[in-house]
Amino acid sequence: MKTEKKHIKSISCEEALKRVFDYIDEHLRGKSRAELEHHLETCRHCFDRVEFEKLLKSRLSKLKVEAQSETLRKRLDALLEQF
Amino acid sequence: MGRSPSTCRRMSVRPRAGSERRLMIPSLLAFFSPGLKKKHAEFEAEALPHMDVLYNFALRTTGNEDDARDLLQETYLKAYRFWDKYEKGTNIRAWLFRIMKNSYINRYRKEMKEPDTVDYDEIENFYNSIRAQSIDTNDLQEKLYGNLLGDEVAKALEALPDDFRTVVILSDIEGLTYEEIAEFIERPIGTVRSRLHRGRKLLQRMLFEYAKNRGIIKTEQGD
Repeated sequence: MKTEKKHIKSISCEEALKRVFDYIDEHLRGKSRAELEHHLETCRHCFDRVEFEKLLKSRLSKLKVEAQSETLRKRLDALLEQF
Repeated sequence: MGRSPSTCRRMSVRPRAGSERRLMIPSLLAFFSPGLKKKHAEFEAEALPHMDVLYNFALRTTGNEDDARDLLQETYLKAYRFWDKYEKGTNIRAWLFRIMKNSYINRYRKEMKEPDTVDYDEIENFYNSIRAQSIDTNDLQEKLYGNLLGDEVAKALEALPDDFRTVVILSDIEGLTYEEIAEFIERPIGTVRSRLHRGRKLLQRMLFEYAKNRGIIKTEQGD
């Protein structure tokens, strides 16, 4: 593992920032991902930033509301009956 | 992996106590027409399970429950009417979303927000400069999300231009894949990706403003 890490290119914070969204969406793969992860291990600021983006994403997911399925279904059923 | 998803779905519409009425074929005509009966059963099994996700989307798009219900209703009526046009085995959710989007555009076209009014360079700069403004994200995180209500996140989302809001809702609230979203907005995956990223950056900008106005975050300007 240690020898492998030596081959991972160091990236700048700017470069890391560009990859953050793909990373939290699990769309970052291979070398690109390894480089970012390596950067996150060494850069506290970018690490925090990733946590921050994850939090925003999870905050958004909480906006999901229970969709009152029963009420909606009843309305639709009533409508479909007219067909 | 026992049953296929379609079997499960079919199983789940089998009558539970009290739900028989729903499964009854509505008109006498259906009784004499096996085709219609089949259509009804298919529609029930395939289209109706996606109602929650569509309602959520409608709610976030229109911003109120009444319009959301109307939009959902219109979508399902159209879907039922054009059921023959749906290619079996293709992504039903994407198909329903497309119908909903068209209904929405027809109904609310005049009120759609123009994305042109947004200064993207400014947003981009803001996003990249969170650090330069000497804001500790860890601290920001706590302040912003410890204090901001869900309402403000919802408000910010509502204020996003349509193109971005749609993608953010589908991805971050509804959990659709990039592929599904691409199919829905009828644009390549690259567009989904860039709209999502921009949408999130815009959101952050707005939340940051709310936080600043409420005195949750203090910044030294011109840093």
